[in-house]
Amino acid sequence: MKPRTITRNIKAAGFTLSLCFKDTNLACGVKLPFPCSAGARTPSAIIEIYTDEIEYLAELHVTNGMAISGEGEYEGYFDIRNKKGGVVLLGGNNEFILANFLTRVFSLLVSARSGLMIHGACLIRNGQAYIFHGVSGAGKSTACSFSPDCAIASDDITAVRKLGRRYLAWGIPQLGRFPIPEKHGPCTIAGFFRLIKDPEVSIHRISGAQAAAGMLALQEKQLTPQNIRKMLVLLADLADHAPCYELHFRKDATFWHCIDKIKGSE
Amino acid sequence: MKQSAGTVFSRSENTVYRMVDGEAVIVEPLYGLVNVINEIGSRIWELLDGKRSAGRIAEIIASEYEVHPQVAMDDTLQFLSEMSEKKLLKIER
Repeated sequence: MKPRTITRNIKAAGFTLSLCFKDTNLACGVKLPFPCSAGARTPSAIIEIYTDEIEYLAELHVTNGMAISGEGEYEGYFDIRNKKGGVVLLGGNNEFILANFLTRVFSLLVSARSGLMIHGACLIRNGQAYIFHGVSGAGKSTACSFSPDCAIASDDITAVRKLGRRYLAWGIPQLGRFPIPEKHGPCTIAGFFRLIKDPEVSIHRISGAQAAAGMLALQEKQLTPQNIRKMLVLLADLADHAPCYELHFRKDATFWHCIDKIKGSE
Repeated sequence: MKQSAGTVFSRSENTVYRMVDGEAVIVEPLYGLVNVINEIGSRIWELLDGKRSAGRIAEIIASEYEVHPQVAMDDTLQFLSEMSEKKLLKIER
């Protein structure tokens, strides 16, 4: 008898994924950071999720798409043309592993639709997105901790897409220390803030080239000769549409005074 | 190899660049390097066509930016030397 499949729809960055769980225990037990999508909206893609590798290999018929490997934690693929994908979870913390795979699927969808993922926290304040970016350890989570007036849409990854003539941002929620927000986007972008830890708090505007270079350097794992030109064009256009700053900050909330001051003077 | 006024450079085939508000963002994917070049450096970068010598480029810079020819020559050679060290240029001859 063929096992029952449980379906759950989730959304992020304006896309909906229909998750088909082949393991009913996993479907009932796993908690994902992405909001559920209600209604009968056509999904952007259907993702089959297995925990039994043998069953997965028997069902898997990949003719198009790309393999997505999770360093021994999962093996999967995503076929953007045919809007389908699959993954087998190979053990460990299934919540984190599945969330990791799904984030990569959302990243591929975003990249295919005039957008990109930025290694940055997305804080929503007065309906606008403040994106704090930097390398691991730059202080993204610290900035979130000192932002009580903000909804933390994500403390690590932000999706940015061009819709019409403007760019919009979505936080890509992560499992971790901050609660999963009800609203994670889309929001207009108040600014991009490159984080620098410094005892002296200050802020200054940076050129489009500096901003594009800084954000490009954060994409190191995705830098390939094939996609780099497209990404550079996108980042240059993005820097032309949203103000970019370098923010020197320390572990308190005073950086928000600097942000408010410079935003008020522009 | 020591750069001189007669040296002819071209951009490395691997590099990708784009001008953003008068500044060049240059990327070397193999080494994961991302560089931002100032206005004059960006102009030198644009003039690198694999045909012009360093001396000819310096003459153009001196003319366009109204600087002393020797200052333009020194700055151009220094810029080309730094770009070479970063593997962003190759010497044609």
